[in-house]
Amino acid sequence: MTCRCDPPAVGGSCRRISQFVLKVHSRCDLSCDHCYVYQHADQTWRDRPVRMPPATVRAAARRIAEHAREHGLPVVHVVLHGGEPLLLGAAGLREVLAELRTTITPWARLDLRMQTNGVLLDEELCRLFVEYDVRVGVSFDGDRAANDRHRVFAHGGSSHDQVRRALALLRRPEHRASYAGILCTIDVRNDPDRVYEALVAESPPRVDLLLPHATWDDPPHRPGPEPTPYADWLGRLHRRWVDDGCPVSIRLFEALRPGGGGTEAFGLAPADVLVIEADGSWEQVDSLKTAYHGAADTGFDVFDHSVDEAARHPGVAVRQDGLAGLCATCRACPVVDRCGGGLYAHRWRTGSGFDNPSVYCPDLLRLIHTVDAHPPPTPAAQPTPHGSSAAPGSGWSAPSPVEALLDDLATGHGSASTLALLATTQLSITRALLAACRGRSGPTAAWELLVHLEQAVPEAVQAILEHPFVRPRLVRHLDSSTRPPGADAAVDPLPALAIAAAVRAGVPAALRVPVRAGAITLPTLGSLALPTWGRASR
Amino acid sequence: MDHAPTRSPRPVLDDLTRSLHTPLERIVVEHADLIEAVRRRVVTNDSVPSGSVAVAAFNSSI
Repeated sequence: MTCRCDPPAVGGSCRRISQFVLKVHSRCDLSCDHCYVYQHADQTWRDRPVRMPPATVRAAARRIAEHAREHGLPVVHVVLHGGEPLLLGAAGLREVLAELRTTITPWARLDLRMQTNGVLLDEELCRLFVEYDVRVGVSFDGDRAANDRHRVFAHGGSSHDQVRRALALLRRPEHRASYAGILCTIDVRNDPDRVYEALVAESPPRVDLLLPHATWDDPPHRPGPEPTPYADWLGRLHRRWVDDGCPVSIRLFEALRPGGGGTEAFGLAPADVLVIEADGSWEQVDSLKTAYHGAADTGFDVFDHSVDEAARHPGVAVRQDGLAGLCATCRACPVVDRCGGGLYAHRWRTGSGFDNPSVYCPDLLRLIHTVDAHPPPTPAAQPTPHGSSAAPGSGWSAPSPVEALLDDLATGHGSASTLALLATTQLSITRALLAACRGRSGPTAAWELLVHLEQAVPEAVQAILEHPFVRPRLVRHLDSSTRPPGADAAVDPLPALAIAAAVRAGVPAALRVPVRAGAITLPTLGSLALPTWGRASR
Repeated sequence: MDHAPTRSPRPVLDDLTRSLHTPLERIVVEHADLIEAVRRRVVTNDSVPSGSVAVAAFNSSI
Protein backbone atom coordinates (compact mmCIF):
# COMPACT_ATOMS: atom_id res chain seq x y z
CA MET A 1 0.00 0.00 0.00
CA THR A 2 1.31 3.43 -0.75
CA CYS A 3 0.32 6.88 0.40
CA ARG A 4 -1.81 8.93 -1.95
CA CYS A 5 -0.03 12.10 -0.93
CA ASP A 6 3.37 13.34 -2.00
CA PRO A 7 6.18 12.08 0.21
CA PRO A 8 6.95 14.71 2.83
CA ALA A 9 10.64 14.67 1.90
CA VAL A 10 9.92 16.25 -1.50
CA GLY A 11 7.87 19.08 -0.16
CA GLY A 12 4.45 17.49 -0.32
CA SER A 13 1.67 18.16 2.16
CA CYS A 14 1.60 14.63 3.53
CA ARG A 15 1.97 14.42 7.28
CA ARG A 16 1.36 10.86 8.30
CA ILE A 17 0.42 10.34 11.94
CA SER A 18 0.66 6.79 13.26
CA GLN A 19 0.36 7.36 17.00
CA PHE A 20 -2.78 8.48 18.79
CA VAL A 21 -3.39 9.08 22.47
CA LEU A 22 -7.02 8.62 23.44
CA LYS A 23 -8.12 10.40 26.63
CA VAL A 24 -10.88 7.97 27.51
CA HIS A 25 -11.33 9.32 31.04
CA SER A 26 -10.35 12.82 32.12
CA ARG A 27 -10.29 12.37 35.91
CA CYS A 28 -7.88 10.47 38.14
CA ASP A 29 -8.15 8.55 41.41
CA LEU A 30 -4.69 9.71 42.51
CA SER A 31 -3.62 13.24 43.30
CA CYS A 32 0.03 13.32 42.28
CA ASP A 33 1.54 16.74 42.82
CA HIS A 34 3.82 16.39 39.77
CA CYS A 35 0.99 15.62 37.32
CA TYR A 36 1.07 17.91 34.26
CA VAL A 37 -2.65 17.35 33.60
CA TYR A 38 -4.01 18.81 36.83
CA GLN A 39 -1.14 20.51 38.68
CA HIS A 40 0.60 22.53 35.99
CA ALA A 41 -0.24 25.59 33.89
CA ASP A 42 -2.96 24.10 31.73
CA GLN A 43 -6.35 23.65 33.42
CA THR A 44 -8.48 22.69 30.40
CA TRP A 45 -9.37 19.41 32.12
CA ARG A 46 -11.92 21.34 34.21
CA ASP A 47 -14.13 21.84 31.16
CA ARG A 48 -13.82 18.32 29.68
CA PRO A 49 -16.45 15.60 30.06
CA VAL A 50 -15.49 13.10 32.74
CA ARG A 51 -15.42 10.21 30.27
CA MET A 52 -15.18 10.05 26.51
CA PRO A 53 -18.74 9.45 25.23
CA PRO A 54 -19.27 6.42 22.91
CA ALA A 55 -20.08 8.74 19.98
CA THR A 56 -16.70 10.43 20.43
CA VAL A 57 -14.89 7.09 20.57
CA ARG A 58 -16.67 6.08 17.36
CA ALA A 59 -15.77 9.35 15.62
CA ALA A 60 -12.13 9.09 16.75
CA ALA A 61 -11.84 5.49 15.54
CA ARG A 62 -13.30 6.45 12.17
CA ARG A 63 -10.87 9.36 11.79
CA ILE A 64 -7.90 7.13 12.61
CA ALA A 65 -9.13 4.42 10.21
CA GLU A 66 -9.71 7.03 7.51
CA HIS A 67 -6.15 8.30 7.93
CA ALA A 68 -4.68 4.78 7.89
CA ARG A 69 -6.59 4.00 4.69
CA GLU A 70 -5.73 7.28 2.94
CA HIS A 71 -2.01 7.01 3.75
CA GLY A 72 -1.61 3.24 3.59
CA LEU A 73 -0.27 3.04 7.13
CA PRO A 74 0.89 -0.51 7.95
CA VAL A 75 0.47 0.01 11.69
CA VAL A 76 -1.37 2.41 13.96
CA HIS A 77 -0.54 2.81 17.65
CA VAL A 78 -3.34 3.87 19.98
CA VAL A 79 -2.67 4.59 23.67
CA LEU A 80 -5.61 4.65 26.07
CA HIS A 81 -4.80 7.44 28.49
CA GLY A 82 -6.33 9.85 30.96
CA GLY A 83 -6.71 11.04 33.65
CA GLU A 84 -6.90 7.43 34.64
CA PRO A 85 -8.28 5.11 31.92
CA LEU A 86 -9.17 2.30 34.36
CA LEU A 87 -11.86 4.58 35.84
CA LEU A 88 -13.85 3.63 32.73
CA GLY A 89 -14.32 0.14 34.21
CA ALA A 90 -14.11 -3.20 32.44
CA ALA A 91 -17.38 -2.79 30.55
CA GLY A 92 -16.57 0.73 29.38
CA LEU A 93 -13.08 -0.26 28.31
CA ARG A 94 -14.41 -3.29 26.43
CA GLU A 95 -16.70 -1.01 24.42
CA VAL A 96 -13.79 1.29 23.54
CA LEU A 97 -11.46 -1.57 22.61
CA ALA A 98 -14.11 -3.31 20.51
CA GLU A 99 -14.85 -0.08 18.64
CA LEU A 100 -11.17 0.55 17.92
CA ARG A 101 -10.49 -3.03 16.79
CA THR A 102 -13.59 -3.20 14.61
CA THR A 103 -13.05 0.14 12.93
CA ILE A 104 -9.27 0.33 12.49
CA THR A 105 -8.13 -3.28 12.01
CA PRO A 106 -9.52 -3.61 8.46
CA TRP A 107 -7.10 -0.87 7.38
CA ALA A 108 -3.98 -1.24 9.53
CA ARG A 109 -2.41 -3.40 12.18
CA LEU A 110 -3.58 -1.92 15.48
CA ASP A 111 -1.08 -1.74 18.33
CA LEU A 112 -3.10 -1.02 21.47
CA ARG A 113 -1.46 0.41 24.57
CA MET A 114 -2.57 1.82 27.88
CA GLN A 115 -0.87 4.02 30.47
CA THR A 116 -2.34 3.64 33.95
CA ASN A 117 -1.52 4.27 37.60
CA GLY A 118 -2.52 0.63 38.19
CA VAL A 119 -4.55 1.29 41.34
CA LEU A 120 -7.76 -0.27 39.98
CA LEU A 121 -6.17 -3.08 37.97
CA ASP A 122 -7.71 -6.47 38.73
CA GLU A 123 -7.88 -9.93 37.18
CA GLU A 124 -10.95 -9.14 35.09
CA LEU A 125 -9.21 -6.14 33.53
CA CYS A 126 -6.03 -8.14 32.94
CA ARG A 127 -8.04 -10.81 31.11
CA LEU A 128 -9.68 -8.08 29.02
CA PHE A 129 -6.29 -6.63 28.05
CA VAL A 130 -4.94 -10.05 27.10
CA GLU A 131 -8.09 -10.70 25.04
CA TYR A 132 -7.71 -7.42 23.14
CA ASP A 133 -3.90 -7.58 23.03
CA VAL A 134 -3.48 -4.33 24.97
CA ARG A 135 -0.03 -3.68 26.43
CA VAL A 136 -0.14 -1.84 29.70
CA GLY A 137 2.42 0.59 31.04
CA VAL A 138 2.20 1.38 34.75
CA SER A 139 3.33 4.64 36.34
CA PHE A 140 5.47 3.78 39.35
CA ASP A 141 8.24 5.89 40.85
CA GLY A 142 10.25 3.24 42.69
CA ASP A 143 10.58 2.32 46.36
CA ARG A 144 7.86 3.31 48.83
CA ALA A 145 9.51 6.58 49.87
CA ALA A 146 10.16 7.60 46.26
CA ASN A 147 6.74 6.57 44.98
CA ASP A 148 4.84 8.20 47.82
CA ARG A 149 6.75 11.45 47.54
CA HIS A 150 4.32 12.36 44.75
CA ARG A 151 2.04 9.44 43.85
CA VAL A 152 -0.59 9.63 46.60
CA PHE A 153 -4.37 9.70 46.96
CA ALA A 154 -6.17 12.99 47.57
CA HIS A 155 -6.21 12.20 51.33
CA GLY A 156 -2.41 11.89 51.21
CA GLY A 157 -2.37 8.10 51.55
CA SER A 158 0.18 5.86 49.87
CA SER A 159 -0.53 4.18 46.50
CA HIS A 160 2.57 1.98 46.73
CA ASP A 161 0.87 -1.27 47.75
CA GLN A 162 -1.91 -0.92 45.16
CA VAL A 163 0.55 -0.31 42.34
CA ARG A 164 2.80 -3.19 43.37
CA ARG A 165 -0.27 -5.44 43.43
CA ALA A 166 -1.06 -4.34 39.87
CA LEU A 167 2.49 -5.09 38.76
CA ALA A 168 2.30 -8.53 40.36
CA LEU A 169 -0.90 -9.23 38.41
CA LEU A 170 0.75 -8.23 35.15
CA ARG A 171 3.76 -10.45 35.90
CA ARG A 172 1.60 -13.58 36.06
CA PRO A 173 2.30 -15.86 33.07
CA GLU A 174 -1.29 -15.59 31.83
CA HIS A 175 -1.11 -11.77 31.81
CA ARG A 176 2.56 -11.26 31.02
CA ALA A 177 1.90 -10.54 27.33
CA SER A 178 0.05 -7.39 28.41
CA TYR A 179 2.87 -6.11 30.63
CA ALA A 180 4.52 -3.29 28.66
CA GLY A 181 6.65 -1.78 31.38
CA ILE A 182 7.05 0.88 34.05
CA LEU A 183 7.10 4.63 33.61
CA CYS A 184 9.06 6.32 36.41
CA THR A 185 9.26 10.05 36.95
CA ILE A 186 12.49 10.76 38.77
CA ASP A 187 13.10 13.06 41.73
CA VAL A 188 16.70 13.84 42.66
CA ARG A 189 15.77 13.78 46.35
CA ASN A 190 15.19 10.02 46.06
CA ASP A 191 17.96 7.44 46.41
CA PRO A 192 18.81 6.30 42.84
CA ASP A 193 20.00 2.87 44.01
CA ARG A 194 16.78 2.19 45.89
CA VAL A 195 14.69 3.40 42.96
CA TYR A 196 16.67 1.20 40.56
CA GLU A 197 16.31 -1.85 42.80
CA ALA A 198 12.59 -1.28 43.24
CA LEU A 199 12.05 -1.00 39.49
CA VAL A 200 14.13 -4.07 38.60
CA ALA A 201 12.37 -6.09 41.33
CA GLU A 202 9.10 -5.75 39.41
CA SER A 203 10.61 -7.60 36.40
CA PRO A 204 9.26 -5.14 33.87
CA PRO A 205 9.88 -5.78 30.17
CA ARG A 206 10.97 -2.18 29.96
CA VAL A 207 11.48 0.90 32.08
CA ASP A 208 11.37 4.50 31.00
CA LEU A 209 12.68 7.26 33.22
CA LEU A 210 11.15 10.69 32.84
CA LEU A 211 12.51 14.04 33.89
CA PRO A 212 9.94 16.01 35.89
CA HIS A 213 8.19 18.49 33.64
CA ALA A 214 9.65 21.98 33.94
CA THR A 215 10.16 25.08 31.80
CA TRP A 216 12.38 28.16 31.87
CA ASP A 217 9.44 29.93 33.55
CA ASP A 218 9.11 27.18 36.15
CA PRO A 219 12.58 25.56 36.37
CA PRO A 220 13.25 22.11 37.83
CA HIS A 221 13.95 21.74 41.53
CA ARG A 222 17.72 21.84 42.10
CA PRO A 223 18.19 21.16 45.81
CA GLY A 224 21.97 21.66 46.11
CA PRO A 225 24.83 23.65 44.61
CA GLU A 226 25.58 21.06 41.90
CA PRO A 227 24.85 22.47 38.43
CA THR A 228 23.59 19.17 36.94
CA PRO A 229 21.83 17.18 39.67
CA TYR A 230 19.59 15.34 37.19
CA ALA A 231 22.56 14.15 35.14
CA ASP A 232 24.36 13.14 38.33
CA TRP A 233 21.34 11.20 39.61
CA LEU A 234 20.67 9.47 36.29
CA GLY A 235 24.39 8.90 35.78
CA ARG A 236 24.60 7.00 39.04
CA LEU A 237 21.63 4.86 38.06
CA HIS A 238 23.19 4.31 34.62
CA ARG A 239 26.46 3.09 36.14
CA ARG A 240 24.56 0.65 38.34
CA TRP A 241 22.56 -0.58 35.36
CA VAL A 242 25.69 -1.12 33.25
CA ASP A 243 27.58 -2.80 36.11
CA ASP A 244 24.62 -5.18 36.57
CA GLY A 245 24.76 -6.15 32.88
CA CYS A 246 21.67 -4.16 31.85
CA PRO A 247 19.14 -6.62 33.35
CA VAL A 248 16.19 -4.66 31.98
CA SER A 249 15.72 -2.40 28.98
CA ILE A 250 15.85 1.26 30.13
CA ARG A 251 14.55 3.34 27.29
CA LEU A 252 16.07 6.68 28.28
CA PHE A 253 19.63 5.29 28.29
CA GLU A 254 19.15 3.27 25.12
CA ALA A 255 17.65 6.25 23.29
CA LEU A 256 20.58 8.49 24.24
CA ARG A 257 23.20 6.09 22.87
CA PRO A 258 24.65 6.96 19.45
CA GLY A 259 22.07 5.78 16.91
CA GLY A 260 19.71 5.01 19.75
CA GLY A 261 16.72 6.17 17.76
CA GLY A 262 15.43 8.70 20.23
CA THR A 263 12.09 9.09 21.95
CA GLU A 264 9.66 11.94 22.11
CA ALA A 265 12.05 13.49 24.64
CA PHE A 266 15.30 12.96 22.72
CA GLY A 267 16.58 12.87 19.17
CA LEU A 268 15.62 14.58 15.94
CA ALA A 269 13.21 12.08 14.45
CA PRO A 270 9.65 13.31 13.81
CA ALA A 271 7.17 12.83 16.66
CA ASP A 272 4.12 11.75 14.68
CA VAL A 273 1.62 11.77 17.52
CA LEU A 274 -1.75 13.42 18.14
CA VAL A 275 -3.92 13.44 21.24
CA ILE A 276 -7.72 13.09 21.24
CA GLU A 277 -9.24 14.65 24.33
CA ALA A 278 -12.36 13.31 26.08
CA ASP A 279 -14.51 15.90 24.27
CA GLY A 280 -13.11 14.89 20.87
CA SER A 281 -10.66 17.80 20.52
CA TRP A 282 -7.49 17.14 18.56
CA GLU A 283 -4.53 18.22 20.70
CA GLN A 284 -0.78 18.32 20.44
CA VAL A 285 1.35 16.26 22.80
CA ASP A 286 0.11 16.25 26.35
CA SER A 287 3.32 17.42 27.97
CA LEU A 288 2.72 20.90 26.54
CA LYS A 289 0.17 21.35 29.30
CA THR A 290 3.10 22.19 31.56
CA ALA A 291 3.90 25.33 29.50
CA TYR A 292 0.79 27.47 29.63
CA HIS A 293 -3.00 27.20 29.70
CA GLY A 294 -4.28 25.92 26.35
CA ALA A 295 -0.77 25.14 25.02
CA ALA A 296 -1.81 21.84 23.46
CA ASP A 297 -4.95 23.17 21.73
CA THR A 298 -5.32 22.94 17.95
CA GLY A 299 -8.87 24.24 17.54
CA PHE A 300 -9.82 21.04 15.69
CA ASP A 301 -11.97 18.10 16.71
CA VAL A 302 -12.69 14.59 15.44
CA PHE A 303 -16.28 15.45 14.41
CA ASP A 304 -15.39 18.16 11.91
CA HIS A 305 -11.69 17.71 11.15
CA SER A 306 -9.60 14.90 9.76
CA VAL A 307 -6.20 13.75 11.04
CA ASP A 308 -4.62 15.48 8.04
CA GLU A 309 -6.13 18.80 9.07
CA ALA A 310 -4.94 18.43 12.67
CA ALA A 311 -1.48 17.33 11.50
CA ARG A 312 -1.08 20.51 9.47
CA HIS A 313 -1.45 22.61 12.63
CA PRO A 314 1.85 24.56 12.96
CA GLY A 315 2.46 23.22 16.46
CA VAL A 316 2.23 19.64 15.22
CA ALA A 317 4.11 20.28 11.99
CA VAL A 318 7.12 21.89 13.67
CA ARG A 319 7.65 18.68 15.66
CA GLN A 320 8.37 16.92 12.39
CA ASP A 321 10.96 19.40 11.09
CA GLY A 322 13.92 17.82 12.89
CA LEU A 323 16.97 20.07 13.19
CA ALA A 324 15.24 22.93 11.36
CA GLY A 325 12.66 23.13 14.14
CA LEU A 326 15.26 23.86 16.85
CA CYS A 327 16.72 27.12 18.17
CA ALA A 328 20.08 28.44 16.93
CA THR A 329 21.87 27.33 20.11
CA CYS A 330 20.74 23.74 19.64
CA ARG A 331 21.47 23.71 15.91
CA ALA A 332 25.10 24.63 16.65
CA CYS A 333 25.50 22.05 19.43
CA PRO A 334 27.69 18.98 18.71
CA VAL A 335 25.28 16.59 20.49
CA VAL A 336 22.07 17.90 18.95
CA ASP A 337 21.49 14.60 17.16
CA ARG A 338 21.48 12.87 20.54
CA CYS A 339 19.24 15.09 22.68
CA GLY A 340 17.30 16.66 19.80
CA GLY A 341 16.80 19.76 21.93
CA GLY A 342 15.13 17.74 24.69
CA LEU A 343 11.39 17.47 25.26
CA TYR A 344 9.54 20.20 23.40
CA ALA A 345 7.65 21.36 26.50
CA HIS A 346 10.88 21.81 28.46
CA ARG A 347 11.99 24.57 26.04
CA TRP A 348 9.18 26.97 26.94
CA ARG A 349 9.97 30.49 28.09
CA THR A 350 7.50 33.37 28.09
CA GLY A 351 8.57 35.77 25.36
CA SER A 352 10.66 33.43 23.19
CA GLY A 353 8.17 30.56 23.24
CA PHE A 354 9.73 27.18 22.41
CA ASP A 355 12.68 28.69 20.54
CA ASN A 356 15.11 27.83 23.36
CA PRO A 357 17.29 24.93 24.47
CA SER A 358 15.75 22.62 27.05
CA VAL A 359 15.71 23.89 30.63
CA TYR A 360 17.56 20.60 31.27
CA CYS A 361 20.26 21.41 28.67
CA PRO A 362 23.33 21.23 31.01
CA ASP A 363 22.00 17.96 32.51
CA LEU A 364 21.38 16.43 29.09
CA LEU A 365 24.88 17.33 27.89
CA ARG A 366 26.50 15.81 30.96
CA LEU A 367 24.29 12.71 30.84
CA ILE A 368 25.23 12.08 27.20
CA HIS A 369 28.90 12.22 28.19
CA THR A 370 28.20 9.78 31.04
CA VAL A 371 26.36 7.37 28.73
CA ASP A 372 29.27 7.54 26.27
CA ALA A 373 31.89 7.05 28.97
CA HIS A 374 30.22 3.91 30.37
CA PRO A 375 28.68 1.98 27.49
CA PRO A 376 26.92 -1.31 28.17
CA PRO A 377 28.99 -4.41 27.42
CA THR A 378 28.78 -5.38 23.76
CA PRO A 379 30.60 -7.96 21.67
CA ALA A 380 33.03 -5.14 20.74
CA ALA A 381 33.95 -4.65 24.36
CA GLN A 382 34.72 -8.33 24.71
CA PRO A 383 37.81 -9.92 23.15
CA THR A 384 37.54 -9.91 19.36
CA PRO A 385 37.63 -13.17 17.42
CA HIS A 386 41.41 -12.62 17.24
CA GLY A 387 41.58 -12.39 21.01
CA SER A 388 42.62 -8.74 21.06
CA SER A 389 40.98 -5.38 21.56
CA ALA A 390 42.16 -1.83 21.21
CA ALA A 391 43.98 -0.64 24.27
CA PRO A 392 42.64 2.48 26.02
CA GLY A 393 44.72 5.47 25.08
CA SER A 394 46.43 3.66 22.22
CA GLY A 395 45.06 6.15 19.71
CA TRP A 396 42.95 3.47 18.04
CA SER A 397 39.22 3.35 18.64
CA ALA A 398 37.70 -0.04 19.30
CA PRO A 399 35.96 -1.45 16.20
CA SER A 400 32.19 -1.71 16.23
CA PRO A 401 30.78 -5.24 16.54
CA VAL A 402 29.91 -5.30 12.88
CA GLU A 403 33.38 -4.05 11.89
CA ALA A 404 34.97 -6.72 14.03
CA LEU A 405 32.88 -9.37 12.31
CA LEU A 406 33.74 -8.06 8.86
CA ASP A 407 37.45 -7.88 9.74
CA ASP A 408 37.36 -11.50 10.81
CA LEU A 409 35.43 -12.66 7.75
CA ALA A 410 37.82 -10.71 5.51
CA THR A 411 40.65 -12.98 6.57
CA GLY A 412 39.15 -15.54 4.17
CA HIS A 413 37.28 -17.80 6.55
CA GLY A 414 35.73 -16.52 9.72
CA SER A 415 36.56 -17.92 13.11
CA ALA A 416 34.20 -20.33 14.81
CA SER A 417 32.98 -17.62 17.17
CA THR A 418 32.18 -15.24 14.31
CA LEU A 419 30.28 -17.92 12.39
CA ALA A 420 28.43 -18.89 15.55
CA LEU A 421 27.45 -15.25 16.08
CA LEU A 422 26.20 -14.96 12.49
CA ALA A 423 24.12 -18.12 12.92
CA THR A 424 22.78 -16.75 16.20
CA THR A 425 21.66 -13.50 14.63
CA GLN A 426 19.98 -15.35 11.77
CA LEU A 427 17.99 -17.41 14.27
CA SER A 428 17.17 -14.23 16.16
CA ILE A 429 15.86 -12.60 12.98
CA THR A 430 13.64 -15.61 12.28
CA ARG A 431 12.31 -15.49 15.84
CA ALA A 432 11.55 -11.79 15.40
CA LEU A 433 9.65 -12.55 12.19
CA LEU A 434 7.76 -15.31 13.98
CA ALA A 435 6.82 -12.80 16.68
CA ALA A 436 5.79 -10.31 13.99
CA CYS A 437 3.41 -12.94 12.57
CA ARG A 438 2.03 -13.42 16.06
CA GLY A 439 1.60 -9.65 16.32
CA ARG A 440 -0.35 -9.73 13.09
CA SER A 441 -2.74 -12.52 13.98
CA GLY A 442 -2.81 -12.18 17.76
CA PRO A 443 -2.41 -15.08 20.18
CA THR A 444 -3.44 -18.33 18.49
CA ALA A 445 -3.33 -21.99 19.46
CA ALA A 446 -0.32 -22.46 17.18
CA TRP A 447 1.56 -19.64 18.89
CA GLU A 448 0.72 -21.00 22.33
CA LEU A 449 1.96 -24.45 21.27
CA LEU A 450 5.25 -22.98 20.02
CA VAL A 451 5.66 -21.06 23.29
CA HIS A 452 5.03 -24.24 25.28
CA LEU A 453 7.37 -26.34 23.14
CA GLU A 454 10.15 -23.80 23.35
CA GLN A 455 10.03 -24.03 27.11
CA ALA A 456 9.71 -27.82 27.20
CA VAL A 457 11.87 -28.94 24.25
CA PRO A 458 13.73 -25.86 22.95
CA GLU A 459 15.93 -27.79 20.53
CA ALA A 460 12.83 -28.97 18.63
CA VAL A 461 11.63 -25.40 18.01
CA GLN A 462 15.15 -24.25 17.14
CA ALA A 463 15.52 -27.00 14.56
CA ILE A 464 12.31 -25.87 12.87
CA LEU A 465 13.23 -22.18 12.88
CA GLU A 466 16.66 -22.92 11.40
CA HIS A 467 15.15 -24.76 8.42
CA PRO A 468 15.87 -22.69 5.29
CA PHE A 469 12.24 -22.66 4.09
CA VAL A 470 10.86 -21.17 7.30
CA ARG A 471 12.09 -17.60 7.02
CA PRO A 472 10.78 -17.10 3.45
CA ARG A 473 7.39 -18.44 4.57
CA LEU A 474 7.23 -15.98 7.43
CA VAL A 475 8.25 -13.09 5.17
CA ARG A 476 5.68 -14.14 2.57
CA HIS A 477 3.00 -14.17 5.24
CA LEU A 478 3.94 -10.66 6.35
CA ASP A 479 4.47 -9.19 2.89
CA SER A 480 1.69 -9.47 0.35
CA SER A 481 3.98 -8.28 -2.49
CA THR A 482 6.14 -11.43 -2.30
CA ARG A 483 3.16 -13.78 -2.54
CA PRO A 484 2.76 -15.47 -5.93
CA PRO A 485 -0.32 -14.32 -7.89
CA GLY A 486 -3.37 -16.29 -6.84
CA ALA A 487 -1.79 -17.55 -3.65
CA ASP A 488 -4.04 -17.79 -0.63
CA ALA A 489 -3.46 -14.62 1.39
CA ALA A 490 -4.86 -16.20 4.54
CA VAL A 491 -2.31 -19.02 4.86
CA ASP A 492 -0.77 -18.78 8.30
CA PRO A 493 2.57 -20.61 8.55
CA LEU A 494 2.52 -20.93 12.34
CA PRO A 495 0.31 -24.06 12.61
CA ALA A 496 2.61 -26.06 10.33
CA LEU A 497 5.66 -24.88 12.26
CA ALA A 498 4.06 -25.73 15.60
CA ILE A 499 2.99 -29.20 14.49
CA ALA A 500 6.42 -29.93 13.02
CA ALA A 501 8.04 -28.87 16.30
CA ALA A 502 5.57 -31.01 18.26
CA VAL A 503 6.36 -34.06 16.11
CA ARG A 504 10.09 -33.52 16.58
CA ALA A 505 9.60 -33.07 20.33
CA GLY A 506 7.36 -36.14 20.62
CA VAL A 507 4.62 -34.04 22.18
CA PRO A 508 1.02 -34.94 21.27
CA ALA A 509 -0.78 -31.91 19.80
CA ALA A 510 -3.83 -31.14 17.67
CA LEU A 511 -4.08 -28.07 15.46
CA ARG A 512 -5.94 -27.01 12.36
CA VAL A 513 -3.24 -26.72 9.68
CA PRO A 514 -3.94 -24.90 6.39
CA VAL A 515 -3.50 -26.96 3.22
CA ARG A 516 -1.53 -25.21 0.48
CA ALA A 517 -1.61 -26.52 -3.08
CA GLY A 518 -3.01 -29.86 -1.88
CA ALA A 519 -0.29 -30.48 0.66
CA ILE A 520 0.86 -29.74 4.18
CA THR A 521 4.58 -28.99 4.37
CA LEU A 522 6.18 -29.56 7.74
CA PRO A 523 9.71 -28.08 7.86
CA THR A 524 12.44 -30.69 8.54
CA LEU A 525 9.89 -33.48 8.19
CA GLY A 526 8.54 -33.30 4.63
CA SER A 527 5.26 -32.77 2.82
CA LEU A 528 2.02 -34.65 3.25
CA ALA A 529 0.03 -34.73 -0.01
CA LEU A 530 -3.69 -34.24 0.58
CA PRO A 531 -5.11 -33.66 -2.90
CA THR A 532 -8.71 -34.35 -1.92
CA TRP A 533 -8.76 -32.25 1.26
CA GLY A 534 -10.13 -28.79 1.60
CA ARG A 535 -8.35 -25.74 2.90
CA ALA A 536 -7.35 -27.15 6.28
CA SER A 537 -6.51 -30.45 7.89
CA ARG A 538 -6.51 -31.46 11.50
CA MET B 1 20.56 9.90 -9.02
CA ASP B 2 19.55 6.84 -7.05
CA HIS B 3 15.79 6.63 -6.81
CA ALA B 4 15.80 3.37 -4.90
CA PRO B 5 13.72 3.61 -1.75
CA THR B 6 15.75 4.00 1.42
CA ARG B 7 16.01 0.71 3.26
CA SER B 8 15.27 0.65 6.96
CA PRO B 9 18.40 0.51 9.12
CA ARG B 10 19.63 -2.91 10.14
CA PRO B 11 18.73 -4.12 13.64
CA VAL B 12 21.38 -3.59 16.30
CA LEU B 13 23.57 -6.66 16.71
CA ASP B 14 23.42 -6.42 20.49
CA ASP B 15 19.62 -6.41 20.40
CA LEU B 16 19.59 -9.49 18.17
CA THR B 17 21.86 -11.50 20.44
CA ARG B 18 20.06 -10.36 23.57
CA SER B 19 16.62 -11.26 22.26
CA LEU B 20 17.70 -14.85 21.79
CA HIS B 21 17.77 -15.24 25.55
CA THR B 22 14.16 -14.09 25.85
CA PRO B 23 11.51 -16.83 25.71
CA LEU B 24 9.02 -16.59 22.84
CA GLU B 25 6.33 -15.95 25.43
CA ARG B 26 7.89 -12.59 26.30
CA ILE B 27 9.68 -11.58 23.12
CA VAL B 28 6.67 -9.76 21.67
CA VAL B 29 6.61 -7.39 24.63
CA GLU B 30 10.24 -7.14 25.63
CA HIS B 31 11.68 -6.78 22.14
CA ALA B 32 8.85 -4.96 20.38
CA ASP B 33 11.28 -2.46 18.87
CA LEU B 34 13.55 -5.18 17.52
CA ILE B 35 10.61 -7.03 15.97
CA GLU B 36 9.45 -3.84 14.30
CA ALA B 37 13.00 -3.12 13.07
CA VAL B 38 13.37 -6.62 11.60
CA ARG B 39 9.94 -6.43 9.99
CA ARG B 40 10.71 -3.08 8.37
CA ARG B 41 14.10 -4.32 7.20
CA VAL B 42 12.99 -7.67 5.82
CA VAL B 43 9.45 -7.06 4.66
CA THR B 44 10.02 -4.90 1.61
CA ASN B 45 6.46 -3.75 1.09
CA ASP B 46 5.85 -2.64 4.62
CA SER B 47 7.71 0.63 4.84
CA VAL B 48 6.76 3.32 7.31
CA PRO B 49 7.69 6.98 7.39
CA SER B 50 11.44 6.92 7.83
CA GLY B 51 12.82 8.07 11.13
CA SER B 52 9.54 8.56 12.96
CA VAL B 53 9.78 8.06 16.70
CA ALA B 54 7.82 5.19 18.19
CA VAL B 55 6.51 7.43 20.94
CA ALA B 56 3.53 5.30 21.67
CA ALA B 57 5.39 2.02 21.33
CA PHE B 58 6.10 2.64 24.95
CA ASN B 59 4.25 5.61 26.19
CA SER B 60 6.97 8.05 27.15
CA SER B 61 6.03 11.48 28.37
CA ILE B 62 3.03 12.06 26.16
